[in-house]
This record gives sequence, structure tokens and C-alpha cells, in this order.
Amino acid sequence: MKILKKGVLSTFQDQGRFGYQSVGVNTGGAMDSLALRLLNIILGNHSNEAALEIHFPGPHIEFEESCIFAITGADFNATLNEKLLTKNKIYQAKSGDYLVFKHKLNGERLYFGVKGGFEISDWLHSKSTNAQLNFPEFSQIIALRNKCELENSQVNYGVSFDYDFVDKKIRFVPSFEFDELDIESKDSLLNSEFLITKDSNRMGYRLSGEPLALLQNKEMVSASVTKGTIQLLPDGQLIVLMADAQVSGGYPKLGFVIEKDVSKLSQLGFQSKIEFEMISYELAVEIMLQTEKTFNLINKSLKLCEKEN
Amino acid sequence: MKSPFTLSILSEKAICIFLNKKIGLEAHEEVLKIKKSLKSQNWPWLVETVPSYNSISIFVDFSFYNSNTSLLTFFENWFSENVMDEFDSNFQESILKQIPIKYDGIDLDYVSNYCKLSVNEFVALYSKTIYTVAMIGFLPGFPYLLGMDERLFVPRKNTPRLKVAKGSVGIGGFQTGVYPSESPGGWQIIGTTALELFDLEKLSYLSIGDKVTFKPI
Repeated sequence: MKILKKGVLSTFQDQGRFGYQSVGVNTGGAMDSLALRLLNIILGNHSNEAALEIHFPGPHIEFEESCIFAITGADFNATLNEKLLTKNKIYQAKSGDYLVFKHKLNGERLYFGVKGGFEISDWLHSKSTNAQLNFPEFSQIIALRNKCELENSQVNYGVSFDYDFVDKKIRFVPSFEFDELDIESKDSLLNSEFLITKDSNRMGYRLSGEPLALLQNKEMVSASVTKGTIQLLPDGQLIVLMADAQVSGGYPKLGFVIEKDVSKLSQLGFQSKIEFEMISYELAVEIMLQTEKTFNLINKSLKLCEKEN
Repeated sequence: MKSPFTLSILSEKAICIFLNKKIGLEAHEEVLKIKKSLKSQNWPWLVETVPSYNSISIFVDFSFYNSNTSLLTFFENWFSENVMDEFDSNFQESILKQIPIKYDGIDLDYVSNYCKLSVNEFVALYSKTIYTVAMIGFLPGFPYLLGMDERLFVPRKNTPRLKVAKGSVGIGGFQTGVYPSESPGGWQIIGTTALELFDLEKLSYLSIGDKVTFKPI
């Protein structure tokens, strides 16, 4: 497979690099980890297989061998040799086929993967690009591990799984310094809108809204932070840490955006408005278990389809 | 009596244990004892622990929830059963490592002035301390060092620099550390080292708990 034009911010990402945070190596990984999870289920890959995370304008990809591929996440009007593709569905590509992304319809990040995975180098048990070291380096010519073809009899079931872009609610669990917010700030956090500013990227989403303040200024000491952590900056604005978050941070923390809504947030772009909804840790865990169940069901139903054919 | 620690949920799969203790060597050694004790449990769902000055975060994977319902409940119970005093007191000897330093930092004059010291006095005070690596973060291999002489505390710059050179030794408040690679940064730069602090294969030259001295060259 050849990537003729790289596109903006294209990187290979799996579910992240764990086990090295105490030497300062952050986890990284896909911004929309649920979209990547779904992609690997559709392709029948290991759940941590790496995919190409694509932003708009996207790359131009030429296939050099037959393979089975799929796309999930954002909608960028992907076409294979000018034929429009649907996300969450498997397709066959042949040598010489050309995959491009024409318009940005919905979402910010699209995941493109192949059955069997890409033959790319890993570092510390992960294929995700570490943004701070720019390593492993991006390569534009990629071998595929599996040169397989769709059998004629194979029915191509699309999976129904989508984002609710109309609902602006981002659910979070209060923690750390949340209780130390003054009353007006709590009210603003829970009842007003926040705008995603242009200073938002894979490291974090900087929001703009009513400035918030703690009852008392607090001497903060650097401590561990992670994807989803909501930090309060000195100017009263919020930042939600995303996939490329540093391993430690020294700002007050108000809690965390739940896993499922970090994925949703990662599909929202500059100028989008969000509202925070506070939920309990117990409910956050329940939502996570429910999501897991949904994925297991999709997995089972796809396997069943394969068997029946 | 105030509880010796506070538990805070960091994410669905992480929890932070914060020691209600003054920042210092004692608090940090306790953090390292907790780390050791956590590691010795061999929980199959434990992904990693990340220590800092006075806290430690515990990262788990999804399988934690196969047999448990709450990180808060689990660790509240675990900590109440494992009282601090009982944590392994045979603490291993730390390793002493030396960092060669050239006191040629762009903020050295400003920092000495701020501390009302001559540059020579500043250099002497900075070089005589044995520091402890309290945490590694911000950048791969970036050590946060504990133990700096109080007379050398200088607040970080109001506006961070867009580029701080690789090997820069800096001061940020009570903390001091070394930039292992070029990066934006807000610490006051007092010198430089040619020592490689991070390698793609060997990873971080320093480990949490190591003792460090700066040797002027």
C-alpha cells in the first residue's frame, strides 16, 4: 500500500502504549478509541491492531495488493476508484485501486484499517506514534500482513453504530478539586456552554466559557494525569486532556470526561459547543460495561453472519 | 485524626492515592513503598503505577471489573488493611548518579539576582545538594528533582519559552530538572548538560528514587 499524499496529521494509532508512564512516555493511542475498536471488530482483527487515524484533508492511498479494508469514525465521503463508500462496512480493494476522501461531512477523525493489520514497526509494544518523540516514524509505503480476498459468498453486513452529534452533552465524573470550586463556578460548569477553541489538538481540547475559580488559590504539585482529565488553567478556562496528554500535570483537576464521551469529543471540531453533565463514578462504570456489551454483541453477530454464509 | 491519604478517581481505569503529607523526602519514600507493595500483589489487572512527589496513580485494565465493582471501594479496603507502617521498611539503597553541568544558562544572572546571591554562591549551593528523582514526566525522561536548597526557589517564567534546548537544566519553583529533548518550557534555565537522559532503547537514564548530584565542568 502506498500513501501518495500524507494528508493532515495522519498517524498510525493503536489503543496506546501502556507501562512506561513512570519514565515519562505517555500512552498516546487513537483519539476515538471506540471507533478503532469497532474497526477491528468489523475486520476480525485483534482489538489492539493499529489503524491509520485520518483528519481532513485526508491522504491519497494506492493499493498495491488485494486486501479487505474498512473505515469507521468520521464521514469524509471516502471513495474507492470514485465509488462512494459507507463506513462500518468491509470492502475489497485490488492492486491499483485508489482510496481518497472527498468532503468533510461529519466528525473529525476517521480510522482506516485492513484485515490482518499493517506491517509497521512498533516501539515498547505499541504501534502508536509518540508525538513527543515523533517515533516510530511515519512510513508512506506499507506492506500488509494479510493479502486476502472477500469470498463471493460472503455477505457484507454493515454495522449500525453512530454518534449523536446533535446532543451536545459531555458526561463527566467530578473528582479532585471539583468540590473546591466556588458556587458560581460550579453553576457555570454545569449550566453553561463551552466552545471548543482552535487551540485544541491530540494533546488536549482547550475550551472557552465562563471563567471558573477555586474558593481558594491552591498550591499545586505535579501529579499523574490521563486522557479525559479536566484541568483548570490559571486564567479560569478548562482543558480536557486527550490521547497525547503528557503523563503529569500541575493544574487543579475537576474530574474526568467518561471514556465514551472522550470518543465523542474527539469527533467534535473547533467552534463546536458542548455542555457538561455531571454523573457518578458508578454510572460511568455502568456505561463502560454497557459499551463493552454492545461491542461483544456486534462481534458475535458478525461471526454469526460469516458462519451462515 | 486526619486520614493519612485521600483517594481520587482519575478515570474509569485509574485511581490516585494522595498522601496528606508535606512534600519532601519522607512523603516520597512512602510513595515508593506503596509502589513496591502494589507491585508485589501481582494483580492480573494492574497495568502500571505512576508515582509523583506525594501521590501515586494506579492504572488498571478492563478486567478489573470482571471481579470488582469499584476502584474506590477496592483501594479503600486495601489501604485500610495495609496500614502505612506495615509497608515494607527494608527500603533498598538508592543509586547515586552524577550529571555533568555547565553553568551557562540564559537565566543564571536573573536567577542569582532573584535569590540575592552572587553567581558563584548560587552555583555552589546548587552543586552541593544530593537530589532525589521524585517523578519523571512532562517529556520522556524528564526528571523532577526533590531537595533543592530553599534559597534557590525561583518561580517559573510568566510566559513559557517556545523553545528550550535539549540538555537545559532548569528551576521551576521548588523543583529542578533537565530537559531531555528540545521543547517549549517555562522553567528558568541555569545551565546545560551533554548527558543523554533518554534513549529509545535504554529509555530513561534516571529512575524514580535515584539520587542525583550536579558536577560543574
